[in-house]
Amino acid sequence: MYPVYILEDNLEQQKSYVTAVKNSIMINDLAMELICATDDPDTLTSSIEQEHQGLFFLDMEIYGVKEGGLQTAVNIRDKIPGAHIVFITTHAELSLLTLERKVAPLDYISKSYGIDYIKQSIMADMLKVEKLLKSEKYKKENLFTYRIGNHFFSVPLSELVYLTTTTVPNNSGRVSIRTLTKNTEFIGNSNDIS
Amino acid sequence: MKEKPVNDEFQMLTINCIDKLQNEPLRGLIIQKFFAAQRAGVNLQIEIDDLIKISNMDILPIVRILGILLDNAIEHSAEEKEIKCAFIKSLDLIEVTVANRAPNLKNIDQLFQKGYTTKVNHSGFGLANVKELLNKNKSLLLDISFSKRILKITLIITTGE
Repeated sequence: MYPVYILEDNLEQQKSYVTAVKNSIMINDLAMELICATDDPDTLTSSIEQEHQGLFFLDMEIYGVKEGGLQTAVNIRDKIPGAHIVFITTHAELSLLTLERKVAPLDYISKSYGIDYIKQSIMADMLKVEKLLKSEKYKKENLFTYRIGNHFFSVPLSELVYLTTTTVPNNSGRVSIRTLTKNTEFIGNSNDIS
Repeated sequence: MKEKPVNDEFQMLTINCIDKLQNEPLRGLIIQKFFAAQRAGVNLQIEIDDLIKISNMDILPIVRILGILLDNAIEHSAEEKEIKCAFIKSLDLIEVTVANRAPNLKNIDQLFQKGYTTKVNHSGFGLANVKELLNKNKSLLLDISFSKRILKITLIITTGE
Protein backbone atom coordinates (compact mmCIF):
# COMPACT_ATOMS: atom_id res chain seq x y z
CA MET A 1 0.00 0.00 0.00
CA TYR A 2 1.24 3.45 -0.88
CA PRO A 3 1.29 5.57 2.29
CA VAL A 4 -0.51 8.92 2.57
CA TYR A 5 0.17 11.51 5.28
CA ILE A 6 -1.59 14.69 6.42
CA LEU A 7 -0.17 17.57 8.44
CA GLU A 8 -2.70 20.24 9.47
CA ASP A 9 -2.97 22.18 12.72
CA ASN A 10 -6.65 23.08 12.32
CA LEU A 11 -8.31 19.89 13.55
CA GLU A 12 -11.62 20.56 11.84
CA GLN A 13 -9.90 21.00 8.49
CA GLN A 14 -7.70 18.01 9.21
CA LYS A 15 -10.81 15.92 9.66
CA SER A 16 -12.23 16.93 6.30
CA TYR A 17 -8.93 16.14 4.55
CA VAL A 18 -9.00 12.72 6.17
CA THR A 19 -12.50 12.19 4.84
CA ALA A 20 -11.46 13.34 1.39
CA VAL A 21 -8.46 11.01 1.33
CA LYS A 22 -10.44 8.01 2.60
CA ASN A 23 -13.29 8.62 0.18
CA SER A 24 -10.91 8.98 -2.70
CA ILE A 25 -9.21 5.68 -1.85
CA MET A 26 -12.58 3.96 -1.69
CA ILE A 27 -14.23 5.52 -4.73
CA ASN A 28 -11.24 5.16 -7.01
CA ASP A 29 -10.10 1.87 -5.54
CA LEU A 30 -6.57 3.18 -4.99
CA ALA A 31 -3.78 1.05 -3.58
CA MET A 32 -3.14 3.69 -0.93
CA GLU A 33 -3.47 3.91 2.79
CA LEU A 34 -3.74 6.87 5.16
CA ILE A 35 -0.97 6.28 7.67
CA CYS A 36 -0.95 9.41 9.71
CA ALA A 37 -2.99 12.61 10.15
CA THR A 38 -1.44 14.90 12.71
CA ASP A 39 -0.91 18.47 13.79
CA ASP A 40 2.65 17.86 14.89
CA PRO A 41 5.57 17.94 12.41
CA ASP A 42 7.71 15.73 14.68
CA THR A 43 5.05 13.02 14.84
CA LEU A 44 4.87 13.06 11.08
CA THR A 45 8.62 12.95 10.64
CA SER A 46 9.01 10.04 13.04
CA SER A 47 6.20 8.11 11.34
CA ILE A 48 8.17 7.99 8.09
CA GLU A 49 11.29 6.46 9.66
CA GLN A 50 11.01 3.18 7.75
CA GLU A 51 9.50 4.55 4.56
CA HIS A 52 10.97 5.20 1.16
CA GLN A 53 7.84 6.53 -0.54
CA GLY A 54 4.73 8.46 0.27
CA LEU A 55 2.22 11.19 -0.60
CA PHE A 56 2.16 14.15 1.80
CA PHE A 57 -0.48 16.83 2.23
CA LEU A 58 1.11 19.58 4.29
CA ASP A 59 -0.26 22.79 5.72
CA MET A 60 2.35 25.52 5.39
CA GLU A 61 1.82 27.34 8.64
CA ILE A 62 1.78 25.12 11.72
CA TYR A 63 0.70 26.79 14.97
CA GLY A 64 1.99 30.18 13.99
CA VAL A 65 5.31 28.95 12.66
CA LYS A 66 5.06 30.29 9.15
CA GLU A 67 7.44 27.83 7.60
CA GLY A 68 6.71 24.81 9.77
CA GLY A 69 5.29 22.94 6.82
CA LEU A 70 8.13 23.94 4.54
CA GLN A 71 10.74 22.75 7.01
CA THR A 72 8.86 19.47 7.34
CA ALA A 73 8.80 19.18 3.56
CA VAL A 74 12.55 19.70 3.36
CA ASN A 75 13.01 16.96 6.00
CA ILE A 76 10.72 14.62 4.10
CA ARG A 77 12.58 15.28 0.86
CA ASP A 78 15.85 14.49 2.64
CA LYS A 79 14.56 11.17 3.89
CA ILE A 80 12.41 10.21 0.91
CA PRO A 81 13.82 11.69 -2.28
CA GLY A 82 10.90 10.32 -4.32
CA ALA A 83 8.13 11.60 -2.05
CA HIS A 84 5.16 13.42 -3.55
CA ILE A 85 4.48 16.60 -1.58
CA VAL A 86 1.40 18.81 -1.80
CA PHE A 87 1.07 22.10 0.08
CA ILE A 88 -2.30 23.25 1.36
CA THR A 89 -1.89 26.87 2.25
CA THR A 90 -3.23 30.33 2.97
CA HIS A 91 0.33 31.51 3.32
CA ALA A 92 0.48 34.96 1.79
CA GLU A 93 4.24 35.15 1.78
CA LEU A 94 4.78 31.84 0.12
CA SER A 95 8.03 31.94 -1.77
CA LEU A 96 7.27 29.91 -4.82
CA LEU A 97 10.65 29.72 -6.51
CA THR A 98 12.36 28.85 -3.26
CA LEU A 99 9.83 26.14 -2.70
CA GLU A 100 10.23 24.67 -6.13
CA ARG A 101 13.97 24.55 -5.79
CA LYS A 102 14.03 23.14 -2.27
CA VAL A 103 11.06 20.83 -2.27
CA ALA A 104 9.78 20.44 -5.84
CA PRO A 105 6.17 19.96 -4.70
CA LEU A 106 3.61 18.08 -6.76
CA ASP A 107 0.95 20.76 -6.24
CA TYR A 108 -0.22 23.73 -4.18
CA ILE A 109 -3.79 23.87 -2.97
CA SER A 110 -5.06 27.28 -1.92
CA LYS A 111 -7.33 27.45 1.09
CA SER A 112 -8.94 30.66 -0.12
CA TYR A 113 -11.39 28.79 -2.38
CA GLY A 114 -13.05 26.90 0.45
CA ILE A 115 -13.22 23.34 1.62
CA ASP A 116 -14.90 21.84 -1.45
CA TYR A 117 -12.12 23.09 -3.65
CA ILE A 118 -9.56 21.60 -1.28
CA LYS A 119 -11.31 18.23 -1.26
CA GLN A 120 -11.53 18.17 -5.04
CA SER A 121 -7.88 19.05 -5.34
CA ILE A 122 -6.85 16.37 -2.84
CA MET A 123 -8.67 13.76 -4.90
CA ALA A 124 -7.17 15.04 -8.14
CA ASP A 125 -3.67 14.87 -6.66
CA MET A 126 -4.19 11.33 -5.44
CA LEU A 127 -5.23 10.26 -8.92
CA LYS A 128 -2.19 12.03 -10.33
CA VAL A 129 0.10 10.09 -7.98
CA GLU A 130 -1.63 6.81 -8.81
CA LYS A 131 -0.96 7.48 -12.47
CA LEU A 132 2.70 8.31 -11.79
CA LEU A 133 3.11 5.10 -9.79
CA LYS A 134 1.74 3.02 -12.62
CA SER A 135 4.11 4.55 -15.15
CA GLU A 136 7.09 4.17 -12.79
CA LYS A 137 6.41 0.48 -12.41
CA TYR A 138 7.19 -0.09 -16.04
CA LYS A 139 10.31 1.97 -16.23
CA LYS A 140 12.69 2.50 -13.36
CA GLU A 141 14.49 5.75 -13.94
CA ASN A 142 18.27 5.73 -14.13
CA LEU A 143 19.95 8.90 -12.94
CA PHE A 144 23.12 10.68 -13.87
CA THR A 145 24.47 12.10 -10.62
CA TYR A 146 27.07 14.82 -10.14
CA ARG A 147 28.39 16.85 -7.28
CA ILE A 148 28.82 20.56 -6.63
CA GLY A 149 30.49 21.25 -3.30
CA ASN A 150 28.80 18.91 -0.86
CA HIS A 151 25.62 18.77 -2.89
CA PHE A 152 24.48 15.96 -5.11
CA PHE A 153 22.42 16.77 -8.17
CA SER A 154 20.92 14.38 -10.65
CA VAL A 155 19.27 14.32 -14.04
CA PRO A 156 17.33 11.41 -15.54
CA LEU A 157 19.63 9.47 -17.86
CA SER A 158 16.84 9.25 -20.42
CA GLU A 159 16.89 13.06 -20.75
CA LEU A 160 20.63 13.42 -21.00
CA VAL A 161 21.72 14.57 -24.44
CA TYR A 162 25.45 15.16 -24.15
CA LEU A 163 28.34 16.16 -21.88
CA THR A 164 31.09 18.56 -22.87
CA THR A 165 34.22 19.81 -21.19
CA THR A 166 35.47 23.34 -21.61
CA THR A 167 38.94 24.16 -22.77
CA VAL A 168 39.37 27.57 -21.24
CA PRO A 169 42.94 28.17 -20.03
CA ASN A 170 43.39 28.38 -16.24
CA ASN A 171 39.98 26.92 -15.70
CA SER A 172 40.32 23.25 -16.34
CA GLY A 173 37.62 20.86 -15.39
CA ARG A 174 34.28 22.47 -16.10
CA VAL A 175 31.84 19.87 -17.39
CA SER A 176 28.66 21.00 -19.12
CA ILE A 177 25.59 18.82 -19.08
CA ARG A 178 22.94 19.20 -21.73
CA THR A 179 19.59 17.57 -21.16
CA LEU A 180 16.31 17.95 -23.00
CA THR A 181 15.28 20.94 -20.88
CA LYS A 182 18.41 21.98 -19.09
CA ASN A 183 21.95 23.16 -19.49
CA THR A 184 23.99 22.97 -16.36
CA GLU A 185 27.59 22.45 -15.31
CA PHE A 186 29.86 21.25 -12.57
CA ILE A 187 33.56 21.23 -11.73
CA GLY A 188 35.14 17.94 -12.65
CA ASN A 189 36.71 16.18 -15.60
CA SER A 190 35.73 13.52 -18.03
CA ASN A 191 38.04 10.93 -16.48
CA ASP A 192 35.99 10.92 -13.30
CA ILE A 193 32.73 10.27 -15.07
CA SER A 194 31.82 6.67 -15.38
CA MET B 1 -12.11 22.44 -11.59
CA LYS B 2 -11.53 26.10 -10.96
CA GLU B 3 -8.60 27.99 -12.37
CA LYS B 4 -5.54 27.72 -10.14
CA PRO B 5 -5.00 30.80 -8.00
CA VAL B 6 -1.49 32.01 -8.43
CA ASN B 7 -1.21 35.73 -8.17
CA ASP B 8 -3.84 37.10 -5.86
CA GLU B 9 -2.36 35.95 -2.62
CA PHE B 10 1.28 36.33 -3.44
CA GLN B 11 1.28 39.94 -4.47
CA MET B 12 2.14 41.09 -0.97
CA LEU B 13 5.51 39.60 -1.38
CA THR B 14 7.88 41.90 -3.18
CA ILE B 15 11.05 43.20 -1.71
CA ASN B 16 10.50 43.23 2.05
CA CYS B 17 12.91 40.33 2.54
CA ILE B 18 15.84 42.32 1.15
CA ASP B 19 17.44 42.78 4.58
CA LYS B 20 18.31 39.11 4.61
CA LEU B 21 20.68 39.75 1.77
CA GLN B 22 23.78 40.70 3.71
CA ASN B 23 26.02 42.06 1.07
CA GLU B 24 25.96 45.77 0.31
CA PRO B 25 26.79 45.83 -3.40
CA LEU B 26 24.42 42.98 -4.16
CA ARG B 27 21.60 44.53 -2.15
CA GLY B 28 22.20 47.79 -3.97
CA LEU B 29 21.94 46.01 -7.30
CA ILE B 30 18.71 44.23 -6.40
CA ILE B 31 17.07 47.42 -5.14
CA GLN B 32 18.16 49.28 -8.23
CA LYS B 33 16.79 46.56 -10.51
CA PHE B 34 13.62 46.38 -8.48
CA PHE B 35 12.89 50.01 -9.25
CA ALA B 36 14.07 49.67 -12.83
CA ALA B 37 11.57 46.85 -13.21
CA GLN B 38 8.85 48.94 -11.64
CA ARG B 39 9.53 51.76 -14.08
CA ALA B 40 9.18 49.26 -16.89
CA GLY B 41 5.89 48.11 -15.40
CA VAL B 42 7.29 44.73 -14.39
CA ASN B 43 6.73 43.12 -11.03
CA LEU B 44 10.05 41.81 -9.76
CA GLN B 45 9.44 39.47 -6.85
CA ILE B 46 12.36 38.80 -4.58
CA GLU B 47 12.39 35.66 -2.44
CA ILE B 48 14.97 35.33 0.32
CA ASP B 49 14.27 32.88 3.14
CA ASP B 50 17.71 32.43 4.66
CA LEU B 51 20.42 34.92 5.55
CA ILE B 52 22.64 35.28 2.51
CA LYS B 53 26.24 36.20 3.22
CA ILE B 54 28.77 36.62 0.46
CA SER B 55 32.20 38.10 1.03
CA ASN B 56 32.96 41.30 -0.85
CA MET B 57 36.09 39.72 -2.33
CA ASP B 58 34.03 37.59 -4.72
CA ILE B 59 31.16 39.94 -5.33
CA LEU B 60 32.16 41.76 -8.52
CA PRO B 61 31.49 38.98 -11.06
CA ILE B 62 28.33 37.99 -9.17
CA VAL B 63 26.96 41.51 -9.34
CA ARG B 64 27.80 41.76 -13.02
CA ILE B 65 26.23 38.42 -13.88
CA LEU B 66 23.05 39.06 -11.90
CA GLY B 67 22.83 42.54 -13.37
CA ILE B 68 22.86 41.07 -16.87
CA LEU B 69 20.38 38.32 -15.99
CA LEU B 70 17.94 40.75 -14.39
CA ASP B 71 18.27 43.27 -17.21
CA ASN B 72 17.51 40.53 -19.71
CA ALA B 73 14.55 39.35 -17.69
CA ILE B 74 13.17 42.88 -17.32
CA GLU B 75 13.44 43.58 -21.02
CA HIS B 76 12.14 40.16 -21.89
CA SER B 77 9.09 40.32 -19.69
CA ALA B 78 7.71 43.36 -21.42
CA GLU B 79 4.57 41.36 -22.12
CA GLU B 80 4.38 39.05 -19.14
CA LYS B 81 5.26 41.63 -16.50
CA GLU B 82 6.47 39.23 -13.92
CA ILE B 83 9.92 38.13 -12.82
CA LYS B 84 10.90 36.09 -9.84
CA CYS B 85 14.30 36.16 -8.27
CA ALA B 86 15.15 33.84 -5.40
CA PHE B 87 18.22 33.57 -3.19
CA ILE B 88 18.54 30.10 -1.73
CA LYS B 89 21.19 28.91 0.67
CA SER B 90 21.80 25.23 1.18
CA LEU B 91 24.88 23.78 2.89
CA ASP B 92 27.89 25.21 1.09
CA LEU B 93 26.01 26.61 -1.90
CA ILE B 94 24.16 29.81 -2.61
CA GLU B 95 21.81 29.64 -5.54
CA VAL B 96 20.31 32.68 -7.19
CA THR B 97 17.50 31.92 -9.59
CA VAL B 98 15.98 34.38 -12.03
CA ALA B 99 12.78 33.12 -13.62
CA ASN B 100 10.58 34.61 -16.29
CA ARG B 101 8.35 33.52 -19.13
CA ALA B 102 10.06 33.34 -22.48
CA PRO B 103 7.36 32.69 -25.07
CA ASN B 104 9.63 33.34 -28.05
CA LEU B 105 12.59 31.26 -27.06
CA LYS B 106 13.05 28.02 -28.97
CA ASN B 107 15.87 26.35 -27.09
CA ILE B 108 18.61 27.02 -24.59
CA ASP B 109 21.49 26.98 -27.05
CA GLN B 110 20.05 30.04 -28.72
CA LEU B 111 20.70 32.07 -25.58
CA PHE B 112 24.46 31.96 -25.58
CA GLN B 113 25.24 32.51 -29.21
CA LYS B 114 27.15 35.72 -29.64
CA GLY B 115 24.91 38.22 -31.33
CA TYR B 116 21.71 36.34 -30.63
CA THR B 117 19.02 38.67 -29.43
CA THR B 118 15.29 38.99 -29.45
CA LYS B 119 15.60 42.70 -28.88
CA VAL B 120 15.45 45.35 -31.53
CA ASN B 121 18.55 47.59 -31.69
CA HIS B 122 20.47 45.36 -29.38
CA SER B 123 23.70 43.50 -29.89
CA GLY B 124 22.81 40.54 -27.68
CA PHE B 125 26.19 40.15 -26.04
CA GLY B 126 24.87 40.00 -22.49
CA LEU B 127 24.75 36.30 -21.97
CA ALA B 128 27.94 35.71 -23.88
CA ASN B 129 29.54 38.05 -21.36
CA VAL B 130 28.08 35.98 -18.56
CA LYS B 131 29.77 32.92 -20.00
CA GLU B 132 33.08 34.75 -20.08
CA LEU B 133 32.74 35.83 -16.46
CA LEU B 134 31.91 32.26 -15.48
CA ASN B 135 34.97 30.94 -17.22
CA LYS B 136 37.17 33.15 -15.07
CA ASN B 137 35.61 32.04 -11.79
CA LYS B 138 35.72 28.46 -10.72
CA SER B 139 33.35 29.10 -7.85
CA LEU B 140 30.52 30.18 -10.16
CA LEU B 141 28.35 27.80 -12.14
CA LEU B 142 25.29 28.33 -14.26
CA ASP B 143 22.23 26.14 -14.47
CA ILE B 144 19.67 26.97 -17.12
CA SER B 145 16.37 25.23 -17.49
CA PHE B 146 13.60 25.90 -19.94
CA SER B 147 10.34 24.07 -19.74
CA LYS B 148 6.69 25.01 -20.00
CA ARG B 149 7.80 28.29 -21.58
CA ILE B 150 9.46 29.34 -18.35
CA LEU B 151 13.13 30.19 -18.42
CA LYS B 152 15.01 29.73 -15.18
CA ILE B 153 18.61 30.76 -14.93
CA THR B 154 20.34 29.83 -11.70
CA LEU B 155 23.73 31.11 -10.66
CA ILE B 156 25.30 28.60 -8.30
CA ILE B 157 27.91 30.09 -6.00
CA THR B 158 30.13 27.61 -4.18
CA THR B 159 31.22 29.27 -0.98
CA GLY B 160 33.74 26.58 -0.11
CA GLU B 161 32.93 26.59 3.60
